[in-house]
Amino acid sequence: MAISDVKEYTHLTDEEVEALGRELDELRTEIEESRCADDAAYITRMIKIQRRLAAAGRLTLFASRWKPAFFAGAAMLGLAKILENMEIGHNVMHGQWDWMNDPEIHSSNWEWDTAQPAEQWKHSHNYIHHQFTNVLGHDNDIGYGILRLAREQKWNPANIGQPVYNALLALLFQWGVALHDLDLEAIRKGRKDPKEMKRQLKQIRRKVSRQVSKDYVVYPLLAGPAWWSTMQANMLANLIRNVWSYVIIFCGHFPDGAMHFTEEELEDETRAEWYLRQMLGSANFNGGPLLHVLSGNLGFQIEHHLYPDLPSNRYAQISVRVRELCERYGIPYTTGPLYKQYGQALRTIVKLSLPNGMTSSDKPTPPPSPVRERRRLTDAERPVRRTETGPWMSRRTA
Amino acid sequence: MDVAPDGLIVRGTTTGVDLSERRHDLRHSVPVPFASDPFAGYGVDHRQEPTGPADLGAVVKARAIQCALSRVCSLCGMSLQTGPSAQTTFVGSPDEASANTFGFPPMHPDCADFALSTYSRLGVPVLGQPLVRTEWVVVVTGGFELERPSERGAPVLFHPNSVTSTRTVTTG
Repeated sequence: MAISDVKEYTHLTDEEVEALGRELDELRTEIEESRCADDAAYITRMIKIQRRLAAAGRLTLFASRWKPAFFAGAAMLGLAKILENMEIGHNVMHGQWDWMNDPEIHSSNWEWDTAQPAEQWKHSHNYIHHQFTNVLGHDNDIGYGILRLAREQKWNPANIGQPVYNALLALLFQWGVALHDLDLEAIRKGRKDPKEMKRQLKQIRRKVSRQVSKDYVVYPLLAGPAWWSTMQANMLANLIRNVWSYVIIFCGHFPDGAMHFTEEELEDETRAEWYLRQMLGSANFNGGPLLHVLSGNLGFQIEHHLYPDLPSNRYAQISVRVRELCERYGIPYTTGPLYKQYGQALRTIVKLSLPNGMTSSDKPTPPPSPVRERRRLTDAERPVRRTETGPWMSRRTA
Repeated sequence: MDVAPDGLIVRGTTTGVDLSERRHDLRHSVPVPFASDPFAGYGVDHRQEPTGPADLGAVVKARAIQCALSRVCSLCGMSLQTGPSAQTTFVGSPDEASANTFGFPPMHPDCADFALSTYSRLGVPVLGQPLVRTEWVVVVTGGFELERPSERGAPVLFHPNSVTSTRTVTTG
């Protein structure tokens, strides 16, 4: 079920939504004002650990013809790539550390260790995904243009292969992400500016050749006689990173409690309403500090979506207050163990490979709401909005 | 400044700013800033023909948010990647500077210089200002906070959070 009126779904009055917004604003101000040298030390320490891990992994692979070195090197390199992509790259590019005024650890300059150019990630993820979180027809993260993940999305016979596409997406995740910002749907419909597409393709080609050269040409050549096993270990490291990133990202918005929204909810949104949509559209998972670091603190997906540009090492602290607010305002706070959250996402992928009539929805349904008068803006009062909504059904489905 | 054969200003010769890809306002022969152009950015079909005159003083809400989240320049619309300095620039009124609250999204430092030299001489409200302005403040910062509108119709606001320099520029 996609939500077309968030306030109605949560049964909150306008005043309650605004009060919630004020409390979330206060929390943000508190964190902004308390950012300090300890936070800066955290990210620089992470970068140091990541670089040492990567160096140790690369060096170990010089002996990769010996099996234990092969696996140890691949594991260290895989771990370094996970740290770089999740806790460092993703969060630096959100501008979480721009306040430090360090030109290296900065959203404008960071280029990460994956095939997608940073500039395109900042558009497809920072803007499209974070601005239009779980809004059908806008947020391309709903299934990445490959999977059917909402019941409102039209079913077609090709969806039967979803479990297979899903496995391929997990294994080849960085390549799927590399093409994400091209917006294949817009290209197919002729809406994409050919000049922009050419510019993006050039960027992708440049980045891909850099990544491929590094992992499959330069380091294997440096390993001399161990070139073949080094190349294989690098491939394994990339595979480990791909599967891990895929699992973490799929746990953020596809467990049962994370809701989808229609375009109607999007326009005229106030900050408080935007907060509310982020809370309802995201899902956390539980775990210890190591799990949270390795997942880029995206186990605190709700907090990340509320405050994408606040330092990730503060999300655990923020989560206590956000959870308390959710309880107080009667808003669902979706969380659970990692295996359960991923299991729910996987079940949705399998179920939605079939037509809606053959399966039932697992999304929670709200209790009956009291009738309240609330005026929505007329079409004349709304700004011009995108009419292209992609392959979505216009009506709610079973 | 470079002027195209049709008389349109497209780039600053000393700054390396290239705005030849931006839509142009034919009344003033200047490029329309990315943040002021409702026919640029996400969700716009490239086949769509712009209608009506450009409002050089407008800030399109969707573009302002896109500039902030995607880290793109509000003038040229390109990535805010700024090389070794990693600095971005806000241009606004003295009041905006003293309140540390700007209405026009961040720009490349070079784009800010280009904007002040190009738009401020037009005699119309520009760069998110409601009135014609001759005194400007340029704030250079490493980062900023985005403030989403708290009520319908309110503007998107920006708060520089690591200011490295502030200067006043008088134009006109």
